[in-house]
Amino acid sequence: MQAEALERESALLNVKKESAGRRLWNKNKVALLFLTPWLIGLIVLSLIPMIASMYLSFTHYDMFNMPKWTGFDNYINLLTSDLRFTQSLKVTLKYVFIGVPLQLIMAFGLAVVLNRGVRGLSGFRAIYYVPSLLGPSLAIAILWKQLFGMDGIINEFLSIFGIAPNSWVADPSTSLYTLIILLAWQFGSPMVIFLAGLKQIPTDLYESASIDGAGRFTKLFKITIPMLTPIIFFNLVMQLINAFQAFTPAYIIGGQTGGPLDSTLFYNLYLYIKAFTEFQMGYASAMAWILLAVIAAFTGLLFLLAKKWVHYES
Amino acid sequence: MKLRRLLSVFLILLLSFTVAACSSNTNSEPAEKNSGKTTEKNESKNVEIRFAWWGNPERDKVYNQILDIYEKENPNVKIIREPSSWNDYWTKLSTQAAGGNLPDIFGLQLLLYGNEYFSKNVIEPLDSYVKDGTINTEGWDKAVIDAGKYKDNLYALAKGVTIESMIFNTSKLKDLGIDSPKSGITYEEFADYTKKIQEKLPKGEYAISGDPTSIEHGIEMWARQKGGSFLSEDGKSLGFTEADLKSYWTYWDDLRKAGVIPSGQVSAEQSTTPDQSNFFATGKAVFIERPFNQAKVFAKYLSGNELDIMRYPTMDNGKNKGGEQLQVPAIVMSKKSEVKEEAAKLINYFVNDLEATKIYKAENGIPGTQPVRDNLETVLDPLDVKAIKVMEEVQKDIPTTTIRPQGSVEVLSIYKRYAQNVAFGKMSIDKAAEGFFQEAKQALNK
Repeated sequence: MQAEALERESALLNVKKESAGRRLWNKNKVALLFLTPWLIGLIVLSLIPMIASMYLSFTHYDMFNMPKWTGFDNYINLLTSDLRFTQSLKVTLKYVFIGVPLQLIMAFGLAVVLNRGVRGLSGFRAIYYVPSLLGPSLAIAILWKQLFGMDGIINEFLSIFGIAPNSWVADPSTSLYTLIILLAWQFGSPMVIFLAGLKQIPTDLYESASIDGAGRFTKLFKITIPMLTPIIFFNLVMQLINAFQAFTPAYIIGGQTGGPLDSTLFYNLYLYIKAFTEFQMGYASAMAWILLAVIAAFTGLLFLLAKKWVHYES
Repeated sequence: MKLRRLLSVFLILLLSFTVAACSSNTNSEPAEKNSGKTTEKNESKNVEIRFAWWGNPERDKVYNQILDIYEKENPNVKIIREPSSWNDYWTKLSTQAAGGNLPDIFGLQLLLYGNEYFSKNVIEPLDSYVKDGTINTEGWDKAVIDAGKYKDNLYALAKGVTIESMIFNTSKLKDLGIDSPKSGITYEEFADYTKKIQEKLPKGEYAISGDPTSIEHGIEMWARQKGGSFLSEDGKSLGFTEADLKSYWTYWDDLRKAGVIPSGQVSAEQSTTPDQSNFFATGKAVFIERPFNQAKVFAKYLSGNELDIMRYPTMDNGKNKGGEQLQVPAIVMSKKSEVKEEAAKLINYFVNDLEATKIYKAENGIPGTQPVRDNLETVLDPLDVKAIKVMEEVQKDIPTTTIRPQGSVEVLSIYKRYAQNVAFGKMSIDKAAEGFFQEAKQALNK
């Protein structure tokens, strides 16, 4: 009898142990079931292609013949002897590290102004958001080319001040800056996020600061910005990753080749050229993985630095 | 309980799938019924043929006109048309080729892309269709048929044959009080001639629209005139010397300094401008370097102006007087096509049918078949008549046309980059030539 009871108990215990392992499954199976469509998407559309590109990055693959294993050749070529690769990295870093801060300053400035209780706020918000909606589109890239071209409006405007006309998009020393301006102009989505963040700051902080005699700028620098740091951080990370992946504007404005003189040869554009005009899929895959590493490194760095300046209210 | 809940979730999922499946089923039903009816009448199934070409809105009209007639005559055939502009066409095509969904029939520029595609096993050989009579090659020029061959198989049929030329605006020359250039003008004479024009042109106008060094035909012709080629036949080395390249760049750099061709910056902007708004099409330039079949297109943009065609400058002290390549825009079939029989019929119609070719005329150059040419005599555009004359003259003194070997696309892009460095004055000609040779060799020996 006793032995039997013991056995039963241990069996029960076993079940319990097992269920501890399966608890996760039991608890989440409905959720997982509902997630299946997304999971299938993730696996088929992201995971498998990623693994495939990882493999291809170690091969020579022209898309028509079977991939040929070449080990680290692609990576070695990229990092040691490809001058255009270095150029594309330079162009992209310049674009990201000038363009993103500019864009965020614009977004933040406008959010602060709009948050002052402007009449028709929602209207303004919508209008300022429009460029973000149009941003990465073909139409805007073409418009930009017209604006900054030889016969463009920008030249007409500058001629008022006696500045000689220049084809800003075709001049290798200025073409990248027209694209940076395009990026800064698409400040809508970070602006909306800033606005939401500004609304979250408790008004009593401002009230007590006013009582203590704080001025407008003191309030901005001592309350608004510190309280907003998590949002600034979020926007910074998101926009940084976005900017690293820029493609369309350079593709259109640079005439599909990153011209003039490779001055708008964005990283992704070069990757595209390698893959789809020169049929070097393996090489392009290696480039994609290097880009991933670069973005991950910068994002990681941002997270590390965040501890020093981002202020979370517990 | 739990099981039931799970089951219901499953059922919902299942339902959504079946609903989706059902709706697509109902869609396809009437189509099937339709095809059933036509089977009784024509004994042929309804087919859809995808047809892609490069061009411009004007050319699209011509294609549509021909394809509409074909659809009317063959009610079971529906042709899905996929036109693109020249630049977009090639990127789209390479993506489609890699993805295995090439259009059933599509255009292929043999000189530039023939070997890139023939060697990749994506194009259907046409020999069996010629043998069974679906495609007729009687009366075709041997040279033109040969241009469409790769390793003894026939892959492509020419839509026309054309050559790079200088199209010029005679009305503008008349306004300036300058005679048209004499035929067979040499490089030196052409330089003096265009400088003379440039002196009379107002600021912002150019004797030549765009920069010939920004595309590759110029250097290829120069190399051939000197007895070389762009790439060696096996595609492993360059077919010209550093000295050839330097002399070529120096020739045009001199004209650039004289203002005959636009500065690097201006021509960089021109190269991304659509044809209908470039300098030549807006009457701001006298010459433009293009295949002669495009003269008609520019004539439409420049209505009221009279245009003419001149062969590319000739070389006195070279090995060959001319270096032009026969450019063969051709029509090919995808190996993956599921309607090969119908596609072959359409190809035959397009290149041989007298009615169709009468509409197409010399859109892509002079047809490579005698019966079609005879049939066109009365309807040809005067510019095409002129083009035929120019081509006859050119063919007398050019070396055999060589299709560029596989891998040339990459070398071309390297060439264009260094040429642009020279045009912008960022590199001396010596340094750029040295850089180009180094990088091209590296790319070719991969």
